[in-house]
Amino acid sequence: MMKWLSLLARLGLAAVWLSAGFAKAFNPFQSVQAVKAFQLLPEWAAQWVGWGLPWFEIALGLLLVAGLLTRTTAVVSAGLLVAFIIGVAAAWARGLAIDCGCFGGGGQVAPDQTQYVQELLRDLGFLALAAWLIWKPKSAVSVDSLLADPEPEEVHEQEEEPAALRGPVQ
Amino acid sequence: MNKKKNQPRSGGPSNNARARMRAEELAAQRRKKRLTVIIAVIVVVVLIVGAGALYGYWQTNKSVEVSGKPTIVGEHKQQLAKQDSSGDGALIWGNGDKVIDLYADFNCPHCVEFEKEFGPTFQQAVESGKWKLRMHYLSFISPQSMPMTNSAACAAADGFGWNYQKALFANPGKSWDDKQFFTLAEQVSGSTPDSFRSCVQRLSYRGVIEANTKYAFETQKIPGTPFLKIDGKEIPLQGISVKSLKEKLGL
Repeated sequence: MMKWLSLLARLGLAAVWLSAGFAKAFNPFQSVQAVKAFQLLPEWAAQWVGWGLPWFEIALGLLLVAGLLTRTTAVVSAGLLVAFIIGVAAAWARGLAIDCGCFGGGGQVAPDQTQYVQELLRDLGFLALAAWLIWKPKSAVSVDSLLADPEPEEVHEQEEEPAALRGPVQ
Repeated sequence: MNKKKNQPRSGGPSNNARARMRAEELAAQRRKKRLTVIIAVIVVVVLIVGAGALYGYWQTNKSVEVSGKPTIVGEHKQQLAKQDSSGDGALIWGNGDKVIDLYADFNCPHCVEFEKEFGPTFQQAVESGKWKLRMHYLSFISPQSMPMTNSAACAAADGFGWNYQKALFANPGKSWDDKQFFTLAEQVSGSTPDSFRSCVQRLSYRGVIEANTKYAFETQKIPGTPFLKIDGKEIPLQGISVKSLKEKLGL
């Protein structure tokens, strides 16, 4: 049951990363503008982040779709989301009027058109998905489950006794 | 789960030891496999991100091409017809009595082709003195359309809009930043006026362009771009040639 919930969380988070990534990946100009609007990074860093970040999001999305290294990917996802949350909160606190540009767009907006609360709540929702996957990374239909050894260590230890009782089953 | 049950466990301590050794061996193999997977994944992710970032770098730094010597359209008047938000604004060239209305987006591929093929004919029409060309630049295809269209309006306001718009069309698919608009202005007009700089940076015509776009689609109900009207009459672009266009324009 948990495995299926984890599958849902995996695919949900994957959809978030893929849509966020593809919305920006082929608009490097826009993406850079969105990063610059946060006024957190020096010019050159904002450029490379603007160009590279969408593809990193796509990579995370693909790993989640495949269910490959799920826990690691979830940890990285959570880290990235925390960074986004800090970025949006910082923009809000400093009185900037920007759109986060999370799913394309971005940059300056009219002061009455900021959506910081929505953006933060949304990111917290995504963070919850990532947290679930860190907690329960084993999911149905995943490359991880194919790669996993059919005999995980913990089980091996626990099985000592019952196995002895049961004897060999050939 | 099955393998677990197949493990020989019924033997004495020596069997147990052997089982433990095998378990350790398996664990080592497992670690190795895991490490291989992790390294492979890191390599692939780095390649994806690296290639993507280079794509962005290339898109942004593609060199600007200004083909040939810029042409100057003779007697012309460049303006945004109405700089309020009524939406019926356009860049206007020529003093003729008769009107050509052309609707385009700098990022619409057909507009780029259309400009390539018919641009010289429209220039001829403007230079003939018989026609007034109203260029309706709209912004709806790509997020790039707004800064590009805005910069074209800025260039027109500073008197070098004709060549500037051609140069924008001559670099399809390029990502632009403000500095490159400045460079292009310099290549086209010989200098980058301060008024152009601030106009580009402030997106001064944003409101006008948004209103024009809305007006074109919602009020005039144009079906898409490019869209051509001669003396207020829609001209189907299917099968149009330079020859037939010249006939329509009496050139």
